[in-house]
Amino acid sequence: MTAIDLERAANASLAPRLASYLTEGTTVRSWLLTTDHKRIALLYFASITVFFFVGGAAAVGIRLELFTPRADFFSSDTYNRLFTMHGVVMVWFFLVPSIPATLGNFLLPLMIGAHEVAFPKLNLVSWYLYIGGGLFTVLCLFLGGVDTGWTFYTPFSTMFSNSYVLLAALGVFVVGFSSIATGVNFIATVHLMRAEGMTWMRLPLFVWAMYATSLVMALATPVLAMALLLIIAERGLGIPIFDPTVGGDPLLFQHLFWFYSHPAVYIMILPAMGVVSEIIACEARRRIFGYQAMVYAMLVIAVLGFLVWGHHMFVSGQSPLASMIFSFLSFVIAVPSAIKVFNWTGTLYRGQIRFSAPMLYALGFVGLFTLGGLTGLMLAAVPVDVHVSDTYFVVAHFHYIMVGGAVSAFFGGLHFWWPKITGRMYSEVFARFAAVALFFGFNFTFFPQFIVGYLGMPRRYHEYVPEFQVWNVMSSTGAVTLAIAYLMPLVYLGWSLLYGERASANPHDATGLEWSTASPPPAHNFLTPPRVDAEPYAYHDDAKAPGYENKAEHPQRAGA
Amino acid sequence: MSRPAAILNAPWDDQARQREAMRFGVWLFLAGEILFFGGLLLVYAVARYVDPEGSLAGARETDAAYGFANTIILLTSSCAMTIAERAAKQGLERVASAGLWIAFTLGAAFLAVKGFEYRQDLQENLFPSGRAFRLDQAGAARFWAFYWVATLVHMAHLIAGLGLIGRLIALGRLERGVGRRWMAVEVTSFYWHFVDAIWIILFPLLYLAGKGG
Amino acid sequence: MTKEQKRYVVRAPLIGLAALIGLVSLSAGWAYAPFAPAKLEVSLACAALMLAVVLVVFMEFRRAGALVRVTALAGCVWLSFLFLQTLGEIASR
Repeated sequence: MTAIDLERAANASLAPRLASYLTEGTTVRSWLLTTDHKRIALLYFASITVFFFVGGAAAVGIRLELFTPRADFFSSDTYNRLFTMHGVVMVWFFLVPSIPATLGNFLLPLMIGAHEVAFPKLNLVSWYLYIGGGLFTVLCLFLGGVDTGWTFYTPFSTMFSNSYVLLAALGVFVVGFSSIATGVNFIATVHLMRAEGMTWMRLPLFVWAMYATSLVMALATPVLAMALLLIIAERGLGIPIFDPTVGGDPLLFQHLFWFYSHPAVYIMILPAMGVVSEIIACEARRRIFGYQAMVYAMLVIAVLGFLVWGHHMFVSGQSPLASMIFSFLSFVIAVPSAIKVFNWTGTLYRGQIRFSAPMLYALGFVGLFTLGGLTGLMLAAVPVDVHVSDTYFVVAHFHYIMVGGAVSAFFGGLHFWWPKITGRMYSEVFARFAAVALFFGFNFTFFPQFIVGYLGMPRRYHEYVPEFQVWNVMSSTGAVTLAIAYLMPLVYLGWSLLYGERASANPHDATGLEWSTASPPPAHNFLTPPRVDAEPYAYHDDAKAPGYENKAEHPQRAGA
Repeated sequence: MSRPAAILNAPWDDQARQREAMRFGVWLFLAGEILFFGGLLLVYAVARYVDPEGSLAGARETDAAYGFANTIILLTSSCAMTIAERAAKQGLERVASAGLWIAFTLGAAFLAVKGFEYRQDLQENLFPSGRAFRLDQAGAARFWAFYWVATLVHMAHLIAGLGLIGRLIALGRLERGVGRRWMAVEVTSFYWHFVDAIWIILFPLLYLAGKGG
Repeated sequence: MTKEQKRYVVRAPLIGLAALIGLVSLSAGWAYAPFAPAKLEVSLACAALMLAVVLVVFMEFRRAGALVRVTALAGCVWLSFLFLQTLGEIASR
């Protein structure tokens, strides 16, 4: 047994069975004033779940309305508010914080062998900023909502909309600072709190993903803050900034907005990529194929992601030269993503695959992300984009990546680390069923949207020509399955909290420092600070795949 | 040169690492602020690029006397903050305290001067909302919209900075000096210099454009 | 206060302040001088020099570690992405 094995055994067995970060203080105050990154992760988890269902309710309204070509339930104005709130809530209050603020907060210090993040009080402040922004947004919702689309384009948002634009903009402005705080915290943590022996190239890919995401959060979000502030100033103070009648340029708003909002999609997908790498390596019992390439791919995505925003503006009237440059760079950024898909596939090769629920989610991610990414490549081509801009093709594309991709990965990670976070095991049977239901429900919902978008159905419309109805009915029916797949985990995961079997320190037999401490971990993560002396993902010997045997070399056996 | 032992915050158990973390953290924040104000400066750059005459027509109406006075005030405040920071690191409590007080007072003076300037701007109908605005050119209205947004946002940052300096002064009185908190003084000082730096950039853009022959 | 302390704590920042006041006065003077050329360039150059003084003298940037320098550089580089592509787009319409 090496020194590290002994330490791991000590950490895992000495921790008293039921004393953990969960039992350390049971008052409301101990939760609301906690500086423990694991508790803050749970605070975030509860809040983003609430917002997920708020955004989901808006989606239910949308898909119900779209069953028939005529307006059945909602006026145009109300429908505008529905899809706007769906977008605003899902992007900023669910997807952007989802993996980083929940799994990232919980796992980052554990994975690097630290006992806390670099700035624990800032971590708590970030959650309160999230809640504050959320309250402004909920207030906006109760007062009647906002109808500008989640993109807040001027001059409609600043000069013509009759909805609560200021409140919504303020809500997003505030929650942006939560993002920045998390980003700053994670970057400092990874630089300065790694355990002894945990060099940069021994970091798990989830940590690298959190690091890359944090760079994007810290550098992109301030520009969003300014874009929103300018809208608030123009609308609130009545002064001309983007107003075209006073020589202002609405495209300037779009530049400022998309400078953040394109990198924002990388904030949403990079963590998912980190989760998927962890799950696939463990459940295939394989080292990651091309670890270094995976690291560089994520960093390149994080940087290049800042240079491609104009592909959201091909039909806005921006200069053709700019469109060509943005288009070219958008093609380039497909390459590192493709490298990652290739490497995940390479990791599976000769693996001993376990089709557990997390693995099903992870495999679903690879397929759905690939499809979403390929359609993104199509959209990067200016002529194609001009044809399908503002149609359901674009809607399908980004839902494939954000829902098929990021949400699948979030669910996968939630299941994979559930034993570690809660100390309980959930029902694999129900979980696998939910994972498969999600995959089928998702495709049934969103694949028809590619078709109907290509055929010309505009997005953000609640009425459409009757020829499109068959695709919309398919999509809305699929959404029912998808909704069931989202609700099921609430039931069986919730059940596991009360009646689930208690988890051991390492139920998946995974590598990674988080598995070397008890489930759930003690308040300070490790009883003794760990030391690292091995590469990550040491699932098998370097030279061979696990279970590799050349039977022809074995002694011959008589009989069976 | 006796650097006082600093107060250690969780999760650090080592002074050098805590200092590294605090400096890194504040610079990460400042990098974000560079992008925040950068977005604002982009609005100015685009406006002046697209309509130089209108922008300069607007800029001609700013009162450079107020602007210059405020610049001197803020630069001196920054200098006082630097003296306070260096004194704190050396354990020179009285000099540090004096420096903090001077920095705070000059920062407050900036606010007062700005207040008088705003009053004058409003009296001269230089708020570009509705028909009361004095100037005709579209570019001038957009310049003045930028002026109000930029100076108000800068002021908000300055007020936050005064809060940080005030906190140090309060801690200094409670703990008999800020020497043990020299890392916090350093970090506050960086933020204050950033507020100063933003004004250094805004001053020529707002007050020196379009002036003279 | 020892002599070295006095130099470090009081004199150096005051010299920095003197440089800053000199630069801003030059900038303002040039702006108001009738028929002086390149006013925008001079005022921006003075501002850049003033920023350098704040960075080097007040913030002791030369003594900062690599991490801090890269961070500051990153902020500026990312800002350049925003400026170059936006102004490039507008200029090429």
